[in-house]
Amino acid sequence: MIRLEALAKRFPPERQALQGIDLEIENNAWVLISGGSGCGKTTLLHLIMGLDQPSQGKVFLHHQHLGRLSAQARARLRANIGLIFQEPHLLQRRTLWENVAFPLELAGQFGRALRQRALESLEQLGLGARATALPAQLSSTERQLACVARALITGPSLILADEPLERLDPQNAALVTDLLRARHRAGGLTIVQTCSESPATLPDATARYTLCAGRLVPSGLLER
Amino acid sequence: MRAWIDAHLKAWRWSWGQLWHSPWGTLLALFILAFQLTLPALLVHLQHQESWWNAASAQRPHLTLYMQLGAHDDAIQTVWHTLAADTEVQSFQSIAPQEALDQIKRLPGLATSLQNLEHNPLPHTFVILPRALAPEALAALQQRLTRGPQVAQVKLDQQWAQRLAGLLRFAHNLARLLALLWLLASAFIVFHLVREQVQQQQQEIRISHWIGASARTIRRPFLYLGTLLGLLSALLALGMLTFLIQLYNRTAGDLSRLLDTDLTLATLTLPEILLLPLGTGLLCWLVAWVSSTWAIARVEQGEANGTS
Repeated sequence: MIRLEALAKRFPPERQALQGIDLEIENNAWVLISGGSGCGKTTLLHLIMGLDQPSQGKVFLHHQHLGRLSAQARARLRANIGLIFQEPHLLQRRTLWENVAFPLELAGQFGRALRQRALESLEQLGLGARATALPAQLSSTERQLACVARALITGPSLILADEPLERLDPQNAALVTDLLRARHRAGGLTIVQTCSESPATLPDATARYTLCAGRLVPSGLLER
Repeated sequence: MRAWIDAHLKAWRWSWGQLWHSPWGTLLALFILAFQLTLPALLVHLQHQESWWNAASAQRPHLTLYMQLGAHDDAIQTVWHTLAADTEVQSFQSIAPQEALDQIKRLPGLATSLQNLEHNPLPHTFVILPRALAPEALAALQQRLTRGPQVAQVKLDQQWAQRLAGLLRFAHNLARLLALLWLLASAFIVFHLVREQVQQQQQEIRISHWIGASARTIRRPFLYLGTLLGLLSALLALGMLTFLIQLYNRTAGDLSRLLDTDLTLATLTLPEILLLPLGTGLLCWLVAWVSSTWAIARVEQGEANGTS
């Protein structure tokens, strides 16, 4: 599903964010990538999302070399991925349910069914009552939960989550983890998740890596 | 199909919302655009007002048709009827030989010398005011009239006609150029307005692009916004233009009566009424397309440069 070959990213003038990263992620995997602040986790996910270009190396997503795709083609590819950003990016002029429903709109769905699905997704995360609120009226936690709902609404086969639990309190973090776990156990879902510290209790994780000095170091392969 | 309609309705509602969001700003922008459009539209309207240009030309070329000496009344009547029926002739004056002689006699110093004439040497004459001013049209009319019964000669001041036609051509070209310049100014205003909206929505555009929205999806509401601005300002310009023409005609009517000519302007024709909003709408759509495509390209450029 995802293949990284000799991936490197250098930010001018001399900051080497990532170097020599080789990684292959199979279908149905749940990969955890941990590391301290500024170690390059977000950069790595942005490279996999096609939001940034590597200085060296290749990124293959669904067997497609991202470097050879146009910006538009990369955007089309992203439409089929559940993306959770570190910052809870929401469209400010849309209500919460409209934000959550946005990926469905991009997939060409409209009407009452769309609203219904968005409301169900929000209900799952305890945000049903806030469905018509604008992002500016929400707390940071609520915005992050809405981003999770948006990432899951299309039922994607891949989720790229950049520190999805960092802004959440333990109760909501558990809620999101449970939701991801349920989807993952249902099958057909690959998750790549970054976190500042690798959680001790996540038996579903198939692989754990640590980003250290721009290099990806395996923290141990876990058998399910 | 349903999804396509829904997507467009959403973009349509969004663009109305943007206009409604700051009503005074919108109104001001629409009036500026409408003023910008009114002048070129008036110039284009003037270009098609043949009769107005004719009346406005102070010295117009005319033709003089001389019948043969002693031409029969039947021939004179035939020529009279031909002139009356010719659509290229705006008006004409028939001058009988005796009438012409009397006029000449009234000129100082000529009365005594003409008294000794045994017979009237002047032919029956027609002074013709043509409708068209183009030298080619005048020459064709001259040719046609020469073929009339017992017509001796049809005279036309070709040089003056050519000079006047040249002047009118210059005025038409100037009008076209000014219209184009004003239209370009309107296009720049719309470009700026859409660009401003795009700037305000920069973050929204970036997020939409990250989540996977295509350039077409991101561009759609801005295209509606540009088109709406164009259509609404064109409708406003139509109203202003109609008002201006009526106001002008009220003044020109009095002047026309004094000068014995018609300086009034015709009201807008149906093609003109349709062309202004459609043309402006299309132009603004194009300008909005350029403006929003440029903004999206900048977001994509940010990705390529690794500054996302």
